[in-house]
Amino acid sequence: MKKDKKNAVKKPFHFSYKSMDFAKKTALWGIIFLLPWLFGLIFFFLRPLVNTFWYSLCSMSLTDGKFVGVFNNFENYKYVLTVDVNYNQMLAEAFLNMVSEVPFQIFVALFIAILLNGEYKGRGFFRAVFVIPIILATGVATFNLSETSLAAQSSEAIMNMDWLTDLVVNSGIPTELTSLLTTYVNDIFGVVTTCGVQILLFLSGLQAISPSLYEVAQMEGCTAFETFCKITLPMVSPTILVCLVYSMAESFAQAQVSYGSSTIEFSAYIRSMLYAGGSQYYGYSAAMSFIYLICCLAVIGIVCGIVSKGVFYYD
Amino acid sequence: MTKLSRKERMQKAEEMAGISFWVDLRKGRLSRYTIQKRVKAAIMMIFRYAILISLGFVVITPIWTLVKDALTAPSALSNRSSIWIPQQVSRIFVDMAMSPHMMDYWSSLAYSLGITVVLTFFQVLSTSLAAYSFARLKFRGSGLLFFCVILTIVVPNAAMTFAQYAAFRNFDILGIIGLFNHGHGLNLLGNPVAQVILAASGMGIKSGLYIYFLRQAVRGLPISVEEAAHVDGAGFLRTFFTIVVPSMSGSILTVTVLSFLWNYTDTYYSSLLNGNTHFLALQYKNLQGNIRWSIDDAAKTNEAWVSQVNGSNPFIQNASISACALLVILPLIIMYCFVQKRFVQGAARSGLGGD
Repeated sequence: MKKDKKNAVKKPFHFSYKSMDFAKKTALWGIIFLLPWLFGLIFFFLRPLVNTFWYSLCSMSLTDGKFVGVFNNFENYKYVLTVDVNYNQMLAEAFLNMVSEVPFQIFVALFIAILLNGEYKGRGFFRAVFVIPIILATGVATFNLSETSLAAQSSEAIMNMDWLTDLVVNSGIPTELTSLLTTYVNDIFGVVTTCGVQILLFLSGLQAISPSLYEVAQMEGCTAFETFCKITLPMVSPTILVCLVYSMAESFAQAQVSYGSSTIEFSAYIRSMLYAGGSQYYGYSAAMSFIYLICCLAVIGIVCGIVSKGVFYYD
Repeated sequence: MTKLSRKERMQKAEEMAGISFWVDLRKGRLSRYTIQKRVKAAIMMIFRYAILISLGFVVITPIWTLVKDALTAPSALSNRSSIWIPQQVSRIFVDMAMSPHMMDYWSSLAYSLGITVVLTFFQVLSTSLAAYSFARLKFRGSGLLFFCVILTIVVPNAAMTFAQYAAFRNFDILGIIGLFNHGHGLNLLGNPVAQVILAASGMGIKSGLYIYFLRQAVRGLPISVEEAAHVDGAGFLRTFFTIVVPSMSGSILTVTVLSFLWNYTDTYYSSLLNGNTHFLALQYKNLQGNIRWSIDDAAKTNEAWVSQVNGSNPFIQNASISACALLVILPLIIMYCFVQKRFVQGAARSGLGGD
């Protein structure tokens, strides 16, 4: 908005659009192109964000169709962090989920993208197949019915991999390592379904690498591993950063945490506070949201700060 | 004279020219290096196909299971001897899912597709305009604003549920609407207008990701073409619509498909702001909670169904919900089949690297 005002002030000095120089015109049109987004940013993002912060500091009540808040000295934060039995635990669980999930997701996505990229028969088909995870990740095609116990179905897994697990567990490798490995392998479906977008991003990142770089590497006698480390990895590192941000944000947004004996989506728990009872719960919900938001931003900020040191930019 | 297939002709020609790998190997005309290279390539190929096929299997299985469960006859459901193909095909679950008591399919589909197309159009328009501005039309402060784009990707929707709800419950722009409406804003909840406003102002579902993606695509285009257009006297709008949009059509198609997909399956905004249960994804979500009663209700309307279907049977519940899920994702799959070829190529060509 500030920028708009500046232009509005400047305009009278120039009087006509035609007498502006190109840089000014560019800036003006830059703002015009951004106007719809700016409108959305201010009214549907920044204002709700500030409002959420304000609600979290207030005790709320609904009077005359409007929400009115009175400052209550961080009572909501005290309640959420010290009285509510579930919140701290859920937050920690969401965080741990993310730490164990995201690196493996990125690894699998990059791996699949590298396999999909390149010249081989049937690549059109395979590339089409690996868009299905995006549909699956929306949760429309997968479901679990709470009421029914389809034990018969779940025990009859499509492939019985127990022998493989036994083999790995009894191989003498430290059990901490093997248990990590087996959880990942057992969860391969979950991982593949959540990294559909990342595969797409990596694929486009890989396609943008100039083939001449690989030719040079081949001429100079690089091994495949060297080529991967010295060309592929640095060139897709900006994409890795984007995928990391996206994966972490998604992982937080869709974190499944334990609630009683079952699991619930963390955000659903926060939303459920809105309907939990009296109007003081609006404040609690807002405080929960804000703590959650700050944690997300802090974690993503720190990780990106570290990773961006290693990112290679071509230009 | 028998006609040889293309492959056979190629093979024959290769043999005659003496360039076939196997011929060379047999006649000992190959260096060790070449053999090594070919063997390595073959191993790599086997490895690639093994992994891709097994992971592809993992991905396709749930979809195939839906199809299989939805098309099995009720009497054959509990028979677990057939895992991959229905023992006895029947349309009963699909018909039931389409009936007014469960999904009221055709009218819901029309409603959902209508909303989704409008949302997708506005979302793609607003995000591509913003992306072009961030990539090319820089002004002081646009770097800071781009940081806000990253912020919109990172901040989870759930953190602002209540505030966004309140913003549309009492919609007002700097008190202007309040002046004409006795100090109250407009209540935009309960119809798609709120969703459309969000999409058009670039704050819809995952808009931040699209802006980022399209910005990278614009940066991958050669700037000289746009400069030439400016020199030849084209305005900014004209440059954008006649030069930039066509040359990044692949990326725009990718974003369109993703936007369509996510708007169509969205239950967060549609339940928060719209709440119309005709929206398919929302309807499907609600059905999951009370599938048992819906089955019984739907079965009552048809003599043939009531004898075969019992809502308390978990297998029947599973098959019915599979049929519903299949019907919900079917339009997506059909649409995807049409744009598949261009979509994947476009996604692959849109340069996201080299930030």
